[in-house]
Amino acid sequence: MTSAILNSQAVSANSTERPAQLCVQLQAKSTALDSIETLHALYSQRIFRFLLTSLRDRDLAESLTQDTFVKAWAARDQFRGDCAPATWLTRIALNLVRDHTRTNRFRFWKNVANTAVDATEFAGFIPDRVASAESALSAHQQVALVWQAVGDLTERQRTVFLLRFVEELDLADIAQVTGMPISTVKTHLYRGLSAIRDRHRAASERLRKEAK
Amino acid sequence: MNAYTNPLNVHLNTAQLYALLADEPGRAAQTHLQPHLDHCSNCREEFEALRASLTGFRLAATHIALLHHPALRPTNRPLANPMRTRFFPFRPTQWAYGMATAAVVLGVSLAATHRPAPAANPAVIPAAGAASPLKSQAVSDEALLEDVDRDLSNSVPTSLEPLEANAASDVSRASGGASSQN
Repeated sequence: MTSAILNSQAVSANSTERPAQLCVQLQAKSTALDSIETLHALYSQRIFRFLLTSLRDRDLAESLTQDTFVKAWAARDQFRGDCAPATWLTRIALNLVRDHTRTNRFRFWKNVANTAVDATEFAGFIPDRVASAESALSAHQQVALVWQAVGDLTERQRTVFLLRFVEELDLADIAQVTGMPISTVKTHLYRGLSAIRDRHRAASERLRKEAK
Repeated sequence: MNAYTNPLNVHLNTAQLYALLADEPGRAAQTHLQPHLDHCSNCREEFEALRASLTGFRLAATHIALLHHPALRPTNRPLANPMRTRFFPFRPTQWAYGMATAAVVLGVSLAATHRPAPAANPAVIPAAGAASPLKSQAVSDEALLEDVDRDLSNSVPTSLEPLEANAASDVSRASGGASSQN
């Protein structure tokens, strides 16, 4: 069955369209989708990280991670291999996040407060020596600042920002995951980055004034 | 003169900073952005701070996800099969609340429907007992229990009644003999 999928994909794929990458993706698909255990072992950590940073709630992230893999396993026949399995899984996870926030919009923040991850806990994972020598802010302050800024972004800006700077997807993959054109992805990305820039400037200015 | 080679000129905008941060090939180091960064201390400081922040943010996200990942928590067993471990489409807290509510409802309904068993009435039960095998079984059980009660209430069990009759006849015979002697 796997060889049949590989052959059909190879025939339908455009030979000029990143053949090496497509080959790697198809191999990854054939191994990852052989069993749900393999799929889960390979990608659950990554999906959980995306959901945790998106939702900021451990219980919810854990629950939606499991839902992602259950849905992916049920729909594995629909995976065409035109993107990496991680991208496909991220798209499923993002749809679950959207469904959840849409149907539980009023209860969402109340629920989040129970097992929420806050800026202090998040920034506590970074040793201070990671900070740039040129920056007036400590590493903890820098990370907490980004955490707060990301929390204030709109849902789309936050998703795009996390997919680019945490999951390190390229713009084409982000466009595929979110269903937005690349130009829109860029716009959201620049706005998110601009918000963080503004926070950085304000925090640095404040520190400079305090130092004087 | 290229605008970005002069540090007094316009600073980098967000798109240009993004190009440097993302290290997009053919846009940053190879073109005019890197020379500007080399000359402009403001932009360089901002770029370095942003790069450190984003790197730290990604590191923290990875660490916190590792710490809270269900398969890596010390109290949990590794999650081998999410389909197998996820029995209900509810969150654990919802499941616990649901089970507690169900237990309370069950207890209340049992208490409301529970009535003491009616006293055995041999006059009534046999008529009802003819209607079904279960009732006839209940009748025979009641009869058996009554026999046992009767046995217990008697000073001499039914099974020993023949012996008692013999003993009584012996006594009467003995007393008859005594009176004749008198």
